Amino acid sequence: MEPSSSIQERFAAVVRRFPDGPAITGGGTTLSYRELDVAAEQFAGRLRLLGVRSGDTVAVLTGRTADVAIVLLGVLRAGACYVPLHDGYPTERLGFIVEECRARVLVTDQATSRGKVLPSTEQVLVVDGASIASEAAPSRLASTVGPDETAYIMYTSGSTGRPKGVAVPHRAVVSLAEDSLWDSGRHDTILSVAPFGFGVAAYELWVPLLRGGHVVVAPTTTFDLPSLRLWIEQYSISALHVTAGLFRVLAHEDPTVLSTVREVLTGGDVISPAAVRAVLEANQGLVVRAMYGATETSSFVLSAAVTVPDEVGTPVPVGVPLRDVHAYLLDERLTPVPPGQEGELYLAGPRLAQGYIGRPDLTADRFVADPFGTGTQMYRTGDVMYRKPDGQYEFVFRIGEQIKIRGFRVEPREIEAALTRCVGVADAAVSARAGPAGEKRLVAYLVGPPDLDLNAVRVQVARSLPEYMIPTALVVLDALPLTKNGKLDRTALPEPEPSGPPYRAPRTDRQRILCELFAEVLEVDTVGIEHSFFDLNGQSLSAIKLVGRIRAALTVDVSVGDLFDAPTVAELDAVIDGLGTAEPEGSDNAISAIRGGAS
Amino acid sequence: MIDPFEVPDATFVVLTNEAAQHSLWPSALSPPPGWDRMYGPASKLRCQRYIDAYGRTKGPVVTAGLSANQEFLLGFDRGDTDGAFGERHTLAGAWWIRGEVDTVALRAALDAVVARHEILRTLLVADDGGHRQVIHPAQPVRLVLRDLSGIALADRPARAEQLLNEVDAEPFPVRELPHLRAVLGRFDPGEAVLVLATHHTATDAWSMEVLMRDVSAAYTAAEPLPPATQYREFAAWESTSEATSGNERARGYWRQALADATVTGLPTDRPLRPGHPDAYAVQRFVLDPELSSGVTAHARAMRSSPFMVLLAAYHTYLWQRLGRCDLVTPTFAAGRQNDRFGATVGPIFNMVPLRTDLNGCRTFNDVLRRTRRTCVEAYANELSFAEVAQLVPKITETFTDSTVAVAAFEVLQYPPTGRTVRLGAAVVTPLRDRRVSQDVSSAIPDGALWALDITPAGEIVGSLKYNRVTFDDDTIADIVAGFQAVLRAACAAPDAPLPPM
Repeated sequence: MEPSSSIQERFAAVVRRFPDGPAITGGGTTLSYRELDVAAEQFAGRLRLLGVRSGDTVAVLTGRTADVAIVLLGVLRAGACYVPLHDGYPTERLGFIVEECRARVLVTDQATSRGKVLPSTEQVLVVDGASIASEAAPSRLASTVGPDETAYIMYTSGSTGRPKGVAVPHRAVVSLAEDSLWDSGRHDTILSVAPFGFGVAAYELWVPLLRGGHVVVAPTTTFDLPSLRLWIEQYSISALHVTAGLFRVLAHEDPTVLSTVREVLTGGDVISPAAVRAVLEANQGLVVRAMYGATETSSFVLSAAVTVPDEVGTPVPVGVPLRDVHAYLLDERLTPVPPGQEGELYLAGPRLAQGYIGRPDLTADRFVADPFGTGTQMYRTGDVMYRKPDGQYEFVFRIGEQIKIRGFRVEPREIEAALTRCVGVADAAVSARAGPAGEKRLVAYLVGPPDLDLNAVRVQVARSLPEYMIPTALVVLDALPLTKNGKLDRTALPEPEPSGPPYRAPRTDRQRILCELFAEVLEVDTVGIEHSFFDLNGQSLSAIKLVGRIRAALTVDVSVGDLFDAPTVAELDAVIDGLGTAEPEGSDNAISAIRGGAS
Repeated sequence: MIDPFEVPDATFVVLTNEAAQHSLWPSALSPPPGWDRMYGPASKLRCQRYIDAYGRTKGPVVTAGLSANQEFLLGFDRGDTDGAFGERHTLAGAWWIRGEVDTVALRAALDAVVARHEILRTLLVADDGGHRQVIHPAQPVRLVLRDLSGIALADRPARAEQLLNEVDAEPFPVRELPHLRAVLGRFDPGEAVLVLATHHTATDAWSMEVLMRDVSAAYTAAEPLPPATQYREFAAWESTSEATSGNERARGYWRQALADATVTGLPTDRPLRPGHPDAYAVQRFVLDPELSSGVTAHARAMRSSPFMVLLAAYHTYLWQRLGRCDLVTPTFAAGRQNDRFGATVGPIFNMVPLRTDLNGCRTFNDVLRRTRRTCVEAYANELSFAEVAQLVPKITETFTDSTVAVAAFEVLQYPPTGRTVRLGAAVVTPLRDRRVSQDVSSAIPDGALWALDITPAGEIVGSLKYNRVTFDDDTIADIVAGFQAVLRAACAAPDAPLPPM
């Protein structure tokens, strides 16, 4: 297949080669390539009947089932591009996105849209299981989509207080899928655990589907380790990507979850070398691959494979460029730095996105003229690195303030903008601080009256920000500390103090054990039975840990969902009282969604 | 390691290639092969605005020269955050809608209004030859639906105003097109509040009412609306002989009227801090019914407008507070003398400096008579503020004085009310009796702003918008109370001797 093809052309070639091979599994259904092909074509027909034409945009808000492949391929076959929405986004943000990208149709399903205020588009197409492709006859129209047309638009955090839509062309996705990195055979069966609205989804969905592999869609993107183990075993998963944060938890709590996996990818934040060692030691023959990438470069562009525990670098290196990725380390005059010297990383080649939709000014600032090409662009990453004698790139620091929280890219200024819109908040600064467990978390410093209603502030920002952008701790100050130049002095911002109700001692043995486990995982001295997991700065990762330990210590089947519903020791104790029987294995009910983890 | 694209105060050029892509480029470096310079060197902000204006659409765009008021606004350009082109220099209005609203039709009507008024999709950009208006094709309006069901009838006015305040406090970058957003808050199927938000460089208070009427017409009409007179036609008209015929006499008036004067400043609690963004807030007040009708009755008795009575009271108050009797207060005139532009949307408002010397005034009515004369003469000689400032540059010195803030004083002006405005069968009435103060509000380019409104019911509601970086809330509360006390005393006994100054 020549590289200058569209996703659907490449997919059609795969269908011809592996018509009966499994393409996607999810929601209890497995579709072969042939079945997926037919269903996608029928779905494209439905979209055409709704008036979707070449160059249109279709917003997609579907659950985690096999239907997602039918919908995405159907949208592309109709000549349109898709905009994956995240069901964790508040209505206001969804509304902004569908308005800005001018989505003509919103495709959703009953389970996902139930009880949700949907953003308004011209048409809303609610699909579900059986009926998804049944209404229209397939119409084999020749695909007229070229490799340089937009395949999808993915939204990331923006600095001016509104999200930015990154437009990614077909060529970039096809180039990613064709990378020789996946030739090892270790990526035949991939578990998809990232939300479809995040960059990693390009790897999880298109690498298998454009190579004849099998993608298994995990029913939820927030899960505990027993669920992960179950999926890996049940579907013989050969590879998956987990965030650096989850990777750390996994290494610490139970690295044998990966015992049958052949390659695990991780990245999105600082990767813990100790975690990599622990995982390798527990799993002979496993390849751990550190990944570096951005939505602007259609996910991964550099990688570093580690197979031997003793050879794990400290820090874990960023690695070497993937095929067709041109990586430059440049100085202030945009000339290459010698090996060993620090330079900013710029990326060029077919993986580049087309830019930020509707923002030519931002696009021209990040996608700049490539001094080593002719009339071509390079992406300015903002990451400073150097190259080691063995050719590996190593990360030094990030220019500017953009931070990553639990693998999500966050612009503090977007959060600050939302905070200053709250009643009573005159000014705000947001900083990433190390939490009790060494994990990065967001702390908001607010200027306002001493009796500022922090709960009201949380409620207000939750209306416009996704959960991972809501600060874990809120601190009220008289004024923000400034440097002599009048700029915010981040070093002078105080550490937040945990707060909450007064201490009440446990009254039973089980409560005492729970208090100890809470204190241990959340790394605080004492926990009373009225103290809430959230007030102690608990997050989804600490929830997974805590639930794991409670299950082990008390041999009870509490879930992460139970902890979130009953976040104090007293409440959780009552829930455990009510637990009669173990939950049925393998059913979706066993997997509890983590919601509002940081609030 | 310094990123060459992030060096503060560096200059850049805009490059373009065969594919019509754009790239910022440090002006100190030579462009790579295949890229040609199309603009610059200029600041990063200027370059980004240039790309924004010319890089959104492939193919030619319509451009036009600037109006005098746009030139005036450029004098207050402090980037994308603060100042005239800042993301909070916005103007929002709200209307009650009683009756059913079809949101599909409403959306189409909003889009039609953007298609109708070029200014809602116009960006200002510094070209190599100076600033131009760059007009873009029409784009859909963002209409957000808010569910306000379950709110008791009695609580709805406060909730509606709260919604207006929330929208008002939201940033709206000037580079976001169109310059119009809408939020529809629905209490029940028969009652809703519609909030329209705009960037203030594209509208004024008068325009907001024109916009709502056009939304109504587009919603109700089966046919497309006839073309509107565009803002760029207003800009072109300003320099025609029809517009400038009386200017020679007017120039003579302003030279004399403002000789040696500076705009009166209100002393601030502390100076602006460089690098610290503006933080505007609004304190609102309502004149009780007796005082409201007292003001209008006294205005009628003195053959004055309520504005003149209110300004006279403000000047009397300033005289007492500052101990100065030579006072210059800017106001905003509608600038709509020519009926041709009565239905034009755009920043036609004009700042008019009103100078009154109270020396020798013994009673409030003395002050009022002088204020009245000032106003009548100023109206008869109206010139764009850009031109006035050129004639008597000294009056703008106050704007650069870090110890004071310029407070403008206006009574909002709207197009004459005629027939009932409707959306289909639903009746539309403006929400103007605003009384909820705002900790966070939209901003103005500089200083402070008194805005008074005489509602259709005859009630006078007022507000003082101020920058919390420079003023304490208590100072503003004190000023607002002081003004009202003077006004109350004045209306009660206009011929009583004023307290000694």
